[in-house]
Amino acid sequence: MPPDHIVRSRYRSASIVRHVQPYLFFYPSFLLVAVVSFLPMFYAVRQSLHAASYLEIGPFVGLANYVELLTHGGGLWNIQTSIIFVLGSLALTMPLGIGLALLLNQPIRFRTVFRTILIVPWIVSQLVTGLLWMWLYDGRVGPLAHALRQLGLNVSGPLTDVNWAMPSLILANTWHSYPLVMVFTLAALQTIPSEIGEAARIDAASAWHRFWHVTLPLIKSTVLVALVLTTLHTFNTVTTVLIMTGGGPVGATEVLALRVFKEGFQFYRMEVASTAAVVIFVLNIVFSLAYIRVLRAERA
Amino acid sequence: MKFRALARAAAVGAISALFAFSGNAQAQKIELWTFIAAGQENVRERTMAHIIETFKAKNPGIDVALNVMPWQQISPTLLRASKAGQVPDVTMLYSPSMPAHIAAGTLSPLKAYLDAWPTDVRADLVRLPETLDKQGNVFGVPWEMRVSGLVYRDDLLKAAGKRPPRSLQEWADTAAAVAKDDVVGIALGFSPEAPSIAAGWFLTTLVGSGAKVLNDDGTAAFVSPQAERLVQWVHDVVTRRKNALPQNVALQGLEQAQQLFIAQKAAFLPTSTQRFEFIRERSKLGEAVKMTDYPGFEEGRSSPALVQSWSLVIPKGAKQPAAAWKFIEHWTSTEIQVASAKSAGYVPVRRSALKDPWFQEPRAEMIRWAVDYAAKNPLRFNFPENTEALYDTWAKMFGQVLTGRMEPKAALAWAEAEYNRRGGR
Repeated sequence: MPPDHIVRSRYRSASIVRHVQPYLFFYPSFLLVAVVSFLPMFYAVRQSLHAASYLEIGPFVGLANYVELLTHGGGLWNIQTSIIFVLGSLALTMPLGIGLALLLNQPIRFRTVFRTILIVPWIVSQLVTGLLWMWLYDGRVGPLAHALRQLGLNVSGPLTDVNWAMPSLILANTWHSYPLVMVFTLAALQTIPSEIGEAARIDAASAWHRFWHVTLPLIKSTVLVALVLTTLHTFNTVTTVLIMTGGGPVGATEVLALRVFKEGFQFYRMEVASTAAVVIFVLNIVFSLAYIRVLRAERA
Repeated sequence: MKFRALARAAAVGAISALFAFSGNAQAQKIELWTFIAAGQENVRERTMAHIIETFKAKNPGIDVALNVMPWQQISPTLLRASKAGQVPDVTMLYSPSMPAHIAAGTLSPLKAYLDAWPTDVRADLVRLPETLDKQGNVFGVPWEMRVSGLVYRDDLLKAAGKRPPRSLQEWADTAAAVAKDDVVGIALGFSPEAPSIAAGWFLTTLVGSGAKVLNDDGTAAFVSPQAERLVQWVHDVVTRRKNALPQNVALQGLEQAQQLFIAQKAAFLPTSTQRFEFIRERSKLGEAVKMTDYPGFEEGRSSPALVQSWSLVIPKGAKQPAAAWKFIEHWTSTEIQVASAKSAGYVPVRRSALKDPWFQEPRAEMIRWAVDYAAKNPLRFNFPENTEALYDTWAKMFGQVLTGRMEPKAALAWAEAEYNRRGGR
């Protein structure tokens, strides 16, 4: 048995390690996130408050860049288009993802095969998604138009139609986004004990009632996470829009994220790109907080 | 003991330093940013591999490290790299992006290097206005030229008893005459997704008609009788002539327009020379595909030739500028220019290259046409700092007109105000 002072010293050392260990794990990750995410964000905020010449920051101009973007600069139109894009995508993505997860949670044959096939759109890049759907929609050489022509229907390409460009884009984005919701929901469904469903069944609850009153409350938190992630992903989507429409026709699909890309990397107006990026960030925060608030209110 | 250990460490250090020094002296490595890899996948890669191999054979002390990236990424990445002080020794840069980089101060002037060349060697090289600043300082040397023109289906025109159009009126008539339900007359797309070909055609036709386009201070001068007439021409071809240029084609981008032609569903395709061989091969139409000048308003008076290029530049802050210049010299030498034309169909940037007998062969017909068109009738236009902003504004303007939201004159006025509000960027 070692002497008391050695035992005390070892205890003290172990105690220090116990207290310090979490910080040793936490700080490197925190620093990495700070360097990769927070610093560019602060840089963007700073640049949005200054004039700029290419990458050189000019004099401080206060909120002039925001005023310009939201008045003459077409920023309000971009925000409106982004919100339509996000809400339209969510309206299709969430029910589709949850519905498919419910189906895949049933004891059906070839479930693994279906699960694998249904997850494929998620692993396809936005670039390929854009090219694929652009080809599908093409009014002259696309397969959809060809099939419709065989039926005697002559269609114009939806991506060049002011009224149909945005719905077409939403559909393509839904195809790319639903697997995330599906995977999250399926994972949550598989944590629900089977006894709960059986109990509801014994109580003669219909399938809809079982879903609405039993299943959904149990997976709500997970669905909310999927909802927040899909919202952020759609708000920040550039590639699919850039490839499919480039914001046209006549600005019908010019979402804010596309504006950031074009202003920054095509027109080198870094001050406008930074301003629009900060607006997207604020919109992302607002939407996320709104979802969390709704969830907390329901829990309360 | 300690002394021995120290002596051993010192000896190891000295030998390492000696090796490191001799290594540096022997293998000087320059970094090249390119959108074409050196490989065997296609003619472009094989040509690049040949250029690198021959350079290394002539300059055994210099190695070339390629950093391959998508062509659209080179300009913005260079701008960011310049800010971060992490530039390559030499990079390709597309001519429309040159004025922005010259204005941003990211490129080294090449005057000192060019002055060291004999006068005839200097005069032999094609120079593009986009590679110069306002004082005439050179910042880039083109390694290939591309001339815009009108690709057409000779078989369809002959079947309809038509000749290649020599005026805009004739072009519209011919396009309408050869168009069928599943074949459009003209494949030309003004989508903001990729408007460069359509906007380039608009620019060259406009300048050819005598319109000013931009004022001396860089502000827009879009509203002119010529511009109104040209926009009206596009509008009329789209709305009044069945299938000559359908609206759903006119609102697409350049890749879809090209795809339409390759699928044998279009008779005319405005494009550039570097795509010509590719289109011939992919469409499986071969010799039936030909290329001619852009027609102007008046019969027999073509629009000027829009010549663009990929240039080689040395960024400011490059670590090995002298070795980088040797590489530029090699690539733009007559020998390599001839070899590149033969292997990949590149239009040479040295006049002396054209003396090679190969250029008299039938397969060099397109190159002869391009050089002739560019020499006889070059586009004289001071490109703005940001050509993409100009083209994007025009793409949006055509969107307004082709969807019936604005009349041509109102759309031109709107585009002019929009371009000026953005300060030309």
